[in-house]
Amino acid sequence: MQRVTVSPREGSELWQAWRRFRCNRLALVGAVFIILLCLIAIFADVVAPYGYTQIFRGMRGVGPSWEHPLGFDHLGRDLLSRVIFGTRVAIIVGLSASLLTALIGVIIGAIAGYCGGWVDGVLSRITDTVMAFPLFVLLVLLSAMLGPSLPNTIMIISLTGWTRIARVVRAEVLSLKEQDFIIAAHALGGRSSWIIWRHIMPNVLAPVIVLTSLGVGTMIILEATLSFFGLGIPAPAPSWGGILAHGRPFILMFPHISIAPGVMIVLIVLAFNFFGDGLRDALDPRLKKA
Amino acid sequence: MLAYSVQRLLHGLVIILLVCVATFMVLRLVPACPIEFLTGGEDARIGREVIAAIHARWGLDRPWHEQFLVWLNNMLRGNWGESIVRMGVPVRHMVVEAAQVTATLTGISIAIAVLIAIPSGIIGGARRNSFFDYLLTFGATLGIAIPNFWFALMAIAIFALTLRWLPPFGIRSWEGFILPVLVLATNEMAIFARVMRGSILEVLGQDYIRTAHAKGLAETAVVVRHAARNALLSVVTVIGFRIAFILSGTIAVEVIFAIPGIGRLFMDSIFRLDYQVVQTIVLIMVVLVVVVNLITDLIYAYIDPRIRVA
Repeated sequence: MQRVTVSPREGSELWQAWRRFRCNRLALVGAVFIILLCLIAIFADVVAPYGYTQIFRGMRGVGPSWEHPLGFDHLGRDLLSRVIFGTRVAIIVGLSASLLTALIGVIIGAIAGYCGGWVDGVLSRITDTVMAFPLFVLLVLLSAMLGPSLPNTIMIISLTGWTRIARVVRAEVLSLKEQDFIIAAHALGGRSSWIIWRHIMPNVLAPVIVLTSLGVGTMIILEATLSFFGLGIPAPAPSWGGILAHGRPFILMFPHISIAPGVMIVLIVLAFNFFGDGLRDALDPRLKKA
Repeated sequence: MLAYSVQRLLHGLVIILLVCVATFMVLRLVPACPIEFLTGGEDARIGREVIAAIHARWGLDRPWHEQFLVWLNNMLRGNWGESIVRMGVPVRHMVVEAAQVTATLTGISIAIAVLIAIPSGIIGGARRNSFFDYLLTFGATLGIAIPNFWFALMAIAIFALTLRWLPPFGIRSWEGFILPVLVLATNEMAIFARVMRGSILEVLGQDYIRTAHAKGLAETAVVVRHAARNALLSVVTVIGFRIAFILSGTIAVEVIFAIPGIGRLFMDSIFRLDYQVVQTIVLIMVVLVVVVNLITDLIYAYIDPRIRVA
């Protein structure tokens, strides 16, 4: 029994999920906005009017004009171009941290649930320990240890974010492994790794996809916050959080620097949240309670 | 119930210990040393012997496990140690002073958030799909999506710069508290209102509510006396966890508004690798989380006996 088929035919589960998703207008708007931002991120070099390190002499902190709709930053760089290149950082971190989070969560959750016993005990205590840290405190500690860079930021955010997925997967696997079709697979002589991959994974896929898509927004906020404190993406790379950090000392002189990156963060987080809500209602309505 | 309580308590202690070990290890793995911040690092004109003596003074020349055990032993005896970077100021003094500021700030914020969010969540859930409900859902969704460090910057730009109503930084007068409380309370309000609304919706769908309606009770009486009471439990849990995890939210606010609370002390200490201070703050936070966790677990187990057995 497989829940997800490759080609969406009329009446297949994937097709039904798409029909449910289509009805949710906010989720559709979110999806379109996400696709748009992905395109901007991929083609940032073409879309951005100037380079993100190009400095215009004598234009420090100058406000918006027709040629430079968002004005200049504290060094005289075109803010629109920097915000556009910042999309790239946000999308890369958001998506890759979410995928890595899902991967870690699924592996740990599946092993804990499937093996049980002391393995489960150890993995569950580790999960509890990571959950007991105030999230941002753990992020700051890890980032101080590893130093700020793009790959490190992705790794740090993933290392702290997998716990919810691991818990959900563990609970799902625990209930699945008692069911008849798994016992039958064992009786037929299937190896554990094969049973997990072929029979258990397809059945935990839906909640994992939903939780992952709902988490992208949080990942983007975390990246922005880390960069804001100088612990995320190092300058001169244009991360939205980094632009806000540079805007902060000038908030009383050039407040326009701090507006656009924040608006972009709010919009992208809203888009991913709406999209995730839509996916949840379409794929796995049981999660709605959580 | 007793066996269950003991088991949860033991789990809690294991978690506290693991968090302490993890924090200790991560701090020592940072490729720098707090003494460098005191002496000025490589190019300082301080003799090697002096630097070695400073290391010895703080026990940094001993092996890690020994350092950790000494620290743990001292903490258990109520001796929180001294700040390395601030050269001998007692950690207890620094932390208690900062904690009072943070407690005031978050206490006011959470109280305001609860007072506004719980009634609006109840009304939103009871009058589902009304104009008020849409407004509430919209506001809560936005409140969750806005990162609070950006909200803080915008609040300064609007209320301190443009309108000139309030001071942008510092808490020298009570007016200084208004903006940070606004930022923190908005975030908490969004979360509480959302949970309250969802919880009310769930309770309103149950049979005993229909019974209450059927026996002729007024709508208000059903919602307030029957639904809200049962719906509150999940909200109280969330409030407990938000208080326990408050540091995640206040760090940015305290740094931006220059408030000398725990969040800022934590950031200052980590940037200068003040081992004792960071370890103490993390320990306090984790104890808080574990205690809240324990209380909620026990309350739920008390209410629902099925949990105890599993």
